[in-house]
Amino acid sequence: MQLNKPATSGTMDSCDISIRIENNTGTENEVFLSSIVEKQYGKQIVALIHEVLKKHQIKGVTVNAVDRGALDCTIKARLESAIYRGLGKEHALDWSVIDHE
Amino acid sequence: MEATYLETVKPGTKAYEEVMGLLLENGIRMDDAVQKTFGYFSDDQLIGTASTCENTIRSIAVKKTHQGSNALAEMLNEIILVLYDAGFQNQFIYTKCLYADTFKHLGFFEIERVEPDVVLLERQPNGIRNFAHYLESFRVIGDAIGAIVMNANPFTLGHQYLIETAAAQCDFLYIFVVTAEHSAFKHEDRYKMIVDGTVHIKNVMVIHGGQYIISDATFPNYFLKHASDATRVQAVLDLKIFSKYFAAALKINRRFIGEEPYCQTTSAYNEAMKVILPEAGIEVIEIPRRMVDDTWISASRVRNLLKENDLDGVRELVPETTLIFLKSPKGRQTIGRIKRSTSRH
Amino acid sequence: MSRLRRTMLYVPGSKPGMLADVAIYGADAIMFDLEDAISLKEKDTARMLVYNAVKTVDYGNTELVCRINGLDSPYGERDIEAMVAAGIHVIRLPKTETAQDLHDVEALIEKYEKKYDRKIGSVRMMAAIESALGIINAYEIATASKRLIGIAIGAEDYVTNLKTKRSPSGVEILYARSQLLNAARAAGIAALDTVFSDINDMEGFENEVKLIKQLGFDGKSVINPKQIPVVHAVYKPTDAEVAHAKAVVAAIEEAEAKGYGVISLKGKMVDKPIVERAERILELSKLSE
Repeated sequence: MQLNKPATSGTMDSCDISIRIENNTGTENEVFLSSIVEKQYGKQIVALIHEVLKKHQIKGVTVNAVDRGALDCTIKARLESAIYRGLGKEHALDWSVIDHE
Repeated sequence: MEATYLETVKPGTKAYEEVMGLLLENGIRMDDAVQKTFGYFSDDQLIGTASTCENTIRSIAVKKTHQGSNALAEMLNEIILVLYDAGFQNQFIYTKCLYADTFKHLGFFEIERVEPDVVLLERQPNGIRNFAHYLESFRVIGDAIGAIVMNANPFTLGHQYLIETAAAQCDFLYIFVVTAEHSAFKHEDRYKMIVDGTVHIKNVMVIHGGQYIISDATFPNYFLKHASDATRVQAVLDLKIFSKYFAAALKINRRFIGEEPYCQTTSAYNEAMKVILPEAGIEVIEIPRRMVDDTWISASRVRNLLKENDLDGVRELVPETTLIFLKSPKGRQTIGRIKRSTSRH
Repeated sequence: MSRLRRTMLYVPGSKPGMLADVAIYGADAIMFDLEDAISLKEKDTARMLVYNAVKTVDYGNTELVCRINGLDSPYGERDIEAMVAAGIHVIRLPKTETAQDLHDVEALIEKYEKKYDRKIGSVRMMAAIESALGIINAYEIATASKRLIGIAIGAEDYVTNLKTKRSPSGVEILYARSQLLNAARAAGIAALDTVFSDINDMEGFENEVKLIKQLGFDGKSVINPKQIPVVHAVYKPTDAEVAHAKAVVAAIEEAEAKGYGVISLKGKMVDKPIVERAERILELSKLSE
């Protein structure tokens, strides 16, 4: 599933992450990350982003993420906000889907 | 917690003077093409500034005492949101080369640079790459592939002559229409006039120029009256982008220009072209202007005649197809706008 | 009294860094704000951030409270749903004016407790009173629901409603504080005081904390971590108070062992209110360790 419109969430404040998500021309998800902790955690963050996209059955989008040292729960929250905004469902979502392991 | 906020700053105010001081302190000039200037304040003190021209962010500076803090990122983020809210899906940053890495770390991607003066970055990770793919879909096989970039404000017999002459010297000719809306005639109308005025030429294709050629991002000074130092740098940047992406995607090996006796900016562009493009293996061919009754044909002359209601004069300078457009409701609307305006374009 | 509610640290739901950091300052309760601190454009993202923080950040024993948007906005019900799903302890309703306001919130809490398979009644409620009408109805509000753990006064909106502004002495809100406190005590729930917004005036802050403690409040909302130790220090029983309380309790135990009906300590009669106060001091002292 692709988005109905491009969407943005988050900020570049410290401990936050800024997410921009747009449909791309393919069927795969593409993640671009710049992070102040890229060396230690870059791969993990990218993997988390892919995982959240997959959980919401999103395919064929490009994510531009600027991480300023966000916790995993913040990364997840920001990405999910962006996804729901992109689907036009930001105030009508079902929280049983936003589960936690 | 200190309260930080972004606000627009208008010329003539005290805050604007502070902005100018901050730019000076950082050795940055206020860009000629700026439409809107923002101040970033912390506890009512100015700590940063940036300005915009449509979807491009320019003249960015952060107070020395706040450099190395997160202030630049926070300010930039606010401006990005303002531009997204204004409906711009892609955004550009025009800055000195030495700041390129800083902005790459803030989610921008380099398009091209002119060392050491400027680098142009964009927000969409695949912006220019996708555009190049889009261009590739128009690729044709041939030895001599030409290109013309044209504003056609409006499309005249001079433009038509330039295209006919160029097309005769090529296997195939691409015409890129300037997309930016700084001209009396709207982009879609200029595009239509060119298409209608070239249907009789078989080896020509008209393409929307888009964000990467003579645009607010690559060459905003093109739309200003006077050339400045920045004009030349922008011209070079625009031409390097043309070589790297447009010419590469379509195998363009010659670019045609009309001789330019009037406009400072266009002639600066043409002069830069003769230096930059041959380095990339692209021949620059200048076609002398066509004359009618011992006078040059030019779009600005047509606009002046429209202003003076001299339709007979206009008839002499434009093809039948343009005349049909001028008489249409949209054409009449545009003429009304020209009569009311005082601008050069 | 099983839980201390001396300090409720306020944190805007839109600030991820603060949402995680507030765990470490030792406030008795944390109040995540989805209401006034959040712009209309960020209501959805703040709700999502708070949801994820409540689910994943370790806040220890801290009581977690969320100030939701009113039900007269398009966000109120969405906030309740998200917070019930997240497992928030307490939902705080802003600008409460009548018992009906709380009944409406309670009905939605119950609806979502069922939907998300939570025990009915597990999510508690708190009401902030911020208007003259709310103060007039304080007792009705305080007794509106079994879920209510306390009522709080929000002074900024209240003084505006009164057509005045706040002053250092707090004379303009003395009536409201007293009325609210009486309503809370009559209903057997906590009474919580308003914020003190000048974070640089620590002396003024301490004076206000002393005042509200003397009035009988359980505690106060705080907007900056540095205000927390001040409140806790004011509320901490002195050594002399603790020693006296211990003596009272020992005297009772001794009297009970000997089967005496009337108890006296150092020649003074010890009656029920004295015992209750002693027990409260000992509990406060134990919890303040």
